[in-house]
Amino acid sequence: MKLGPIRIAWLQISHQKLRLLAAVLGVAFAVVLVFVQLGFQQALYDSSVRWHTALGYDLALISPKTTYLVNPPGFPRSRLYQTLGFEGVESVTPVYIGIAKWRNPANPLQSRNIYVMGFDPMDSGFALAGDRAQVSKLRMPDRVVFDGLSRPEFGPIADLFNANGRVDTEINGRDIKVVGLYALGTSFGIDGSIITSDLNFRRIFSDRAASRIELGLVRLQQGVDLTEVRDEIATAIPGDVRVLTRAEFIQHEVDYWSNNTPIGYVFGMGVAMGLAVGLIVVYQILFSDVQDHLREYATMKAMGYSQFFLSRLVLSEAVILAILGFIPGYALALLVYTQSREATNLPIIMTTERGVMVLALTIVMCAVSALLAMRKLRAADPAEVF
Amino acid sequence: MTAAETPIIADSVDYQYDSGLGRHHVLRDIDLKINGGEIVILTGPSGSGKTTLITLIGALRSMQSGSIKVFGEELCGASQRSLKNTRRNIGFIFQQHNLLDYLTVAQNISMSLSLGDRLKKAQGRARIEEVLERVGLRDHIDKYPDALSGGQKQRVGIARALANRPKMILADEPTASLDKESGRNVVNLIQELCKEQGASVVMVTHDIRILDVADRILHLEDGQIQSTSSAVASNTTQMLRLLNQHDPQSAQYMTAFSLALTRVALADNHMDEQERMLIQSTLLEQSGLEAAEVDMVMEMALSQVRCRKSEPGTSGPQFSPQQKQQFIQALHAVAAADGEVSPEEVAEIQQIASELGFGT
Repeated sequence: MKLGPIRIAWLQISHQKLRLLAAVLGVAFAVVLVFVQLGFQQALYDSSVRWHTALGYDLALISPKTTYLVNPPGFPRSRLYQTLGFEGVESVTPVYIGIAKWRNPANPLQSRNIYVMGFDPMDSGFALAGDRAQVSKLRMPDRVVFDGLSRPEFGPIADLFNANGRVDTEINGRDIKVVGLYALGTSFGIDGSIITSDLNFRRIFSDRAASRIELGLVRLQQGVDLTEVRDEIATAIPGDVRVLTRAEFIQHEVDYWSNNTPIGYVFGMGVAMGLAVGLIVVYQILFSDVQDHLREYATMKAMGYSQFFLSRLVLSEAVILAILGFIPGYALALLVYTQSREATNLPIIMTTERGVMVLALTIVMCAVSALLAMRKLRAADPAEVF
Repeated sequence: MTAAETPIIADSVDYQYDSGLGRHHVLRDIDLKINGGEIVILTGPSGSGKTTLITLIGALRSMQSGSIKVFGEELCGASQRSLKNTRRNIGFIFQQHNLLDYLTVAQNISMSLSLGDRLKKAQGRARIEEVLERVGLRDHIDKYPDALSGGQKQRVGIARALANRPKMILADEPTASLDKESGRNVVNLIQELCKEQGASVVMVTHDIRILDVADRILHLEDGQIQSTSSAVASNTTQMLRLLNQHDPQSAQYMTAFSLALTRVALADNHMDEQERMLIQSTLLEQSGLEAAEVDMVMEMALSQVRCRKSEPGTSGPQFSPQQKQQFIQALHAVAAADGEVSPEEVAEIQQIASELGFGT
């Protein structure tokens, strides 16, 4: 019966149950912290491109001054129509974007900013807004469809609509009717949204001209080369618009959130803090464990065990702690994800890649703690055991 | 001589500690040979360097100067790696048991087995059972050390040291934390098992009760090895002086008995074992002395009896010509110290010398 360092590490670490519990909780805490930070960060990026992924298009036209899609500057609608002249372009959809004041029908004193998108109901690209019948209802004046996953501060619109078949409220001081629901969800910049027709959009925003749009959707014929058409359009039309493929449009938004806001830094900091807490806890535990067993370690050295063997022992303890702490940490993180998803309607979900990455980070964190604690091993002098 | 016959050969070993107060010379010019299967006890007051010496022999400490060969391997200037390999061939028994408290008895023993020749799992278990059987702890094989008494733990420590069948055992105060009886058992066990396996033993101890298991006693004083007789003399003198100082009455009572016994014994110039036992039991019953005191009285008397020359030709004390010469010269010098040496004194000296076996 050979006792390898892993087996001894397990026996040693499992001997003191309370200390093991403290260590596992410390690691689990760090794991939860890291998962939550990474989950929120990814949710932020995912939610910020909800519109980008939900709309139907192959190329997107935006103003070069557009930083992110929540409140973009406009550009001439004629640029979008110009693209119809290029080979391979099948159809285009001009989109109007604005932010309006929405009055909560359940509590008329409360009004909130709501994200409004307007388009010509005859055009395609808005499968998101519902089936053809629902979209055609938007042709009537002052009709909108409402995102049922908007935050509850806008009122219990979905419940009211399902109960009564319609909801009446006010946008920018104008009476409107909700004639349908769709499901998109919130993001860090958008608490709730409605979709309406281009005409209704201009009724809500009376100062907006039909000739300036905020987003242009371009659909290409099947089988044409995406980047080729994009380059052709980009070189031919004036520089007051940018032409992006779907992937570029999504990346453009993610880049904004990660580079131009402190959000990426803040979440990165959160991850670092979580790891630092875990590192300190595990180091403390391992250090006092080594300290308590110095005499035994010196005895093992006297028996002929090497410093390397003892180092492997401490490292094994660290890896065991990492794995033992990761399991409850992962379970807790799933719980936190579910809770926050329900509370915020943000797409906070666990992915396999993130799980693997956090497990690796946890093991690295514990291994660094072990390397620090190992310095204490040198104090185990076999000449001192006599 | 081969390494197997003389596992340890130390030659002019010096060792110094550097402390804040300066250099402290712990070992001076130590020469030492320990033979295969020999049990050597190392005694000496605290600070005499015995622990330093045993850690040097055990390859636990790097040497400074001199030479120690363990199993033919020179330790002076050896790398940490080869010191470690030397240690694997030595069984260590510590003052505290130093068992790993989170391992069972069997696991603790297999810690030392894992290092030696790779045994198959079943063989390893069999070896553990066998060695525990020998130390009388077969039933405790799967217990944790916390569940054992001090003596039992120390016996597990012995089992651990011996499981690998090392050719040498180093023990440091193995009885220090044990009561008299468990201490005795532990030492007997070490002696018995080492004789069985033919292992040499070097044991450091303060415990004079266990000195009798030794084949040889080495006494360290101020970092040097003293002769046994000088060590015993200095200890005994000190103890007798203490006794005279604190309990002069008992001291005189015992001395009186020992003088009387010497005379009784000398009346027929002979004392055999039977007579000795008879005197001992009589004294125990009649003298009011305690057993230990009777032992001492007997020992003092017998030591005098032993040095008297018995009948010529039979075994009396054997002294070297040099000792004979020194003895007579010294007595003459003592006689001369108070003035003239009279012819009566010369005759007296000659008579004493011949009576005690110093005759030419």
